[in-house]
Amino acid sequence: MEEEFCHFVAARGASLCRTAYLLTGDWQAGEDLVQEALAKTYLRRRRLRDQSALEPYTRKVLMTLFLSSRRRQWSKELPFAELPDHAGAPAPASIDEFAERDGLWQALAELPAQQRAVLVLRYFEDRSEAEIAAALNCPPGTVKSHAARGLDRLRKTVAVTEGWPR
Amino acid sequence: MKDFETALRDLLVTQVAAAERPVELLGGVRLRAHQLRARRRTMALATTVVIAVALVVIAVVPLSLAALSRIGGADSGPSAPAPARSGSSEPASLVTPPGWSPVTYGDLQVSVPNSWAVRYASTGCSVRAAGTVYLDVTLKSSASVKRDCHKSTNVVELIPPGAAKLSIPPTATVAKVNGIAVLREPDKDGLLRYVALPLGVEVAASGPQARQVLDTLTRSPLAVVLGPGRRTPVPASWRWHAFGGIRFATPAGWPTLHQKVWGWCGSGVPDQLVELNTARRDAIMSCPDLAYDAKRQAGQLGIQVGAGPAAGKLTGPTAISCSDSRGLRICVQPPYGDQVVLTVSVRPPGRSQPTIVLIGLAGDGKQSRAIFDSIQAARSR
Repeated sequence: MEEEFCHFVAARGASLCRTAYLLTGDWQAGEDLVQEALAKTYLRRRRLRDQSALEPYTRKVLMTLFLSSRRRQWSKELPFAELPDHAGAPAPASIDEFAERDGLWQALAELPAQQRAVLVLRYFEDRSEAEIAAALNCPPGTVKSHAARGLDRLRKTVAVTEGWPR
Repeated sequence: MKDFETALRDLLVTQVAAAERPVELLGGVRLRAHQLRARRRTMALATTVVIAVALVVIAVVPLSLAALSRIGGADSGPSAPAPARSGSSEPASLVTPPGWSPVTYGDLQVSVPNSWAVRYASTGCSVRAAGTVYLDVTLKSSASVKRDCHKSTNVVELIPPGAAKLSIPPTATVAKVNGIAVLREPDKDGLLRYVALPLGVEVAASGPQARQVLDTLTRSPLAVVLGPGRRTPVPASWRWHAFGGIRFATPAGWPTLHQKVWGWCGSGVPDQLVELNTARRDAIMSCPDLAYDAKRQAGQLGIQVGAGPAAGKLTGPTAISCSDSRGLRICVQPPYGDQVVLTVSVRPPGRSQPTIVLIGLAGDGKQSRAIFDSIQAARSR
């Protein structure tokens, strides 16, 4: 494998895995998704204009793979039947905070894939609407509506159990 | 109570911090890239077969055989009148026994039975197979192969120059295997270890067929094509083709296929075909998954010449070497991981975009070299 590409994987692999974990809810599944996206990028690398295009392209492939895998799995399984292990997480200050965190994480897992992707890109990666639209290959208006609906749904779901303000 | 959006942001950061672990992605990426290529190759082969069958059907129907022969893409060179097509022209490598396939690694090649698995060491153990070849073995991955992989009776490890054993034990002997000087360590606990001295690659083999495998050690076709030496003369029986501003020769028996779609399953080229491609855009391929055994990963002879915009995108800024000869600027592009195809970009005079030539690497490499050496500027009419 070419040295430049290996350097790119070494430098950006962990960051890609973090995003993929938040999308899939499972570290191993996230790593698989990242490997698949990197393999596709590797095969296409000569058609990219330069090295700086590698990361945006990989992220776009990652998103496409995530959304299409969720579409395929939709009728077969719900990937978040069980909550992931929390071993090693910073200890919550109280039982209430623990319940809030778990409730919110569970609610996030149950969001439709597009809404979840938009929220991860916006609140974890701090991407602008235009950047998210480019990554998801949809108009900025759609990003706005996904973000609004996703947040609304999270608020409602969590409010029922935790008493969050709507 | 915290603002909801801040809480969401905190949650995402906390969850990642809790789940994060060290990642080792390269091995998996290599394996998946191999699988993606294999899928593409299968699709391309299927397409080729369909086209070939269609062509045969057309040729058999006695409509216009003469017209068909006129629309062929080849022209005969002045010194090489097109002879009758022979059958298979692929030279069997002298060191690859029947029923075995070559596995190339850098400049080195060993051959193993067709059914043996081929894997990168970092991707873990193979499925149950009579033998497994592990590529890119390092000290770390070698330990895990030994600890975890007991499914194959025969194991071959290919160790890159950087990780090869540098110390020479006093009991080691120097021998020649198929013309290559090797440092041979005495058999120790059933493990045979050779270091191919001019190539720097180390090969370790264990199991009942270890010796047989090591006896097939030779230079890879890529090393033969790019190695030093005089230009290989074009055999008189070969056929000349003119396309994309260049001329090149191939064995006369290879059919010519005109394609307007760029994209195929796998990294190899279609078997014993001359594909002349004018595609403007890449095809979106969906290739089936394949098990990765020695036979499927082996290269095959053939040539693909792309003169359309889709092929032009293959040229990267980092060519291995460029030379001006035979009226052309010829640049060798970096090989893909499995090195079963040589990618060359050629810039013919008067053309704004390069012509891309993909030469299949197989057999003893001599035919691939003869094709490569035959590339020259097309004559102006």
